[in-house]
Amino acid sequence: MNKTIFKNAFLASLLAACGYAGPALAYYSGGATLDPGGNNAQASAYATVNCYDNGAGAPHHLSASVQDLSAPAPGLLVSLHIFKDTQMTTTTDAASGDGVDSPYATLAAGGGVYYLSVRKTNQGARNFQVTWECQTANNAGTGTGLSVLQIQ
Amino acid sequence: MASKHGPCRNIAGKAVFSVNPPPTWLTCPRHKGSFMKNAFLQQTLFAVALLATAGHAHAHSASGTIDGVGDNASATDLAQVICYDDGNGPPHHLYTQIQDFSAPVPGLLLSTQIFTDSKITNTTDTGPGDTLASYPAILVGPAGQDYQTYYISVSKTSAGARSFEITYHCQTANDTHTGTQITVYQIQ
Repeated sequence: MNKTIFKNAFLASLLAACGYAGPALAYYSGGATLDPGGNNAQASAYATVNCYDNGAGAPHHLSASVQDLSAPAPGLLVSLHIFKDTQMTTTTDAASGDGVDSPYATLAAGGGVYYLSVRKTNQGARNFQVTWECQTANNAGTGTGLSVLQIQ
Repeated sequence: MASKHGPCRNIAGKAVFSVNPPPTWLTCPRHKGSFMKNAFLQQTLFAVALLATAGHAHAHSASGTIDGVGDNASATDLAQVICYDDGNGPPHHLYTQIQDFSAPVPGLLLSTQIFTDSKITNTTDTGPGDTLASYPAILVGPAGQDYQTYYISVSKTSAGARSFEITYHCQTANDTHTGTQITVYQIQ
């Protein structure tokens, strides 16, 4: 899946998510295929998430999870990372294809630009879905803007 | 540290050195960083490693443990690497490998990522405890700059302590080692 299609998928998800009234539940989600050729163990997806105050409150943290939609394969797991400034955290979908997201990863670094990446541990195409939201200290959703940098 | 991919190879997969295999003390000119919990120990270890290897093709070595207690699946180590022209030429890319020394555990794999503000790559040691490092991960930085900023991280796929060693070194477009400086940001 090329970057444009991936962006469109994310944008569609963003628009859909905007329909939710409760900001605390309005996680955005979008997905793509990592390593569609199945021959790139180092394939990574990379995006920025800008957290800003949209009137709901000052951003305190970014919360995100990943779900591997593909069938389980030995030694092949999908992980998500959040990075900002001098901090980084990680979460992994330990059970591929079970319809359950990974535990949420949360990085508390205030407002501004966070980096979000998705990768896997070996060769093999993986369909994945990412869920993310900038939140206030009270876990209310606030301004969240995503820009995709890389899809492999 | 031997590699599943053989000694130090560049993006095209060719050996970095004209002698292959190189002399044992030049197996792979590299920086290896310890992600230890004590900042003083980190700095001292790095300084000692740097001094000890100053005459040996920039081979720097150290090791550490991530998630020492074994209950933190999110444990992530993070450092910044500055690549600069130390006289050997302007930096072109950062080269890394990781080796997981701990015994295999189902669903528990150790990886490293290299990233800048626009690109990212990663590599995983798919054979923990087998004495072989991961495939190299190489990220090419902005062209035409004498000074490049990269970040490297170490993480794993589940809870569990892992002893590891990471190798990193900045190289020119011709795979010549050039200026490499690390600052450790986070140890978990």
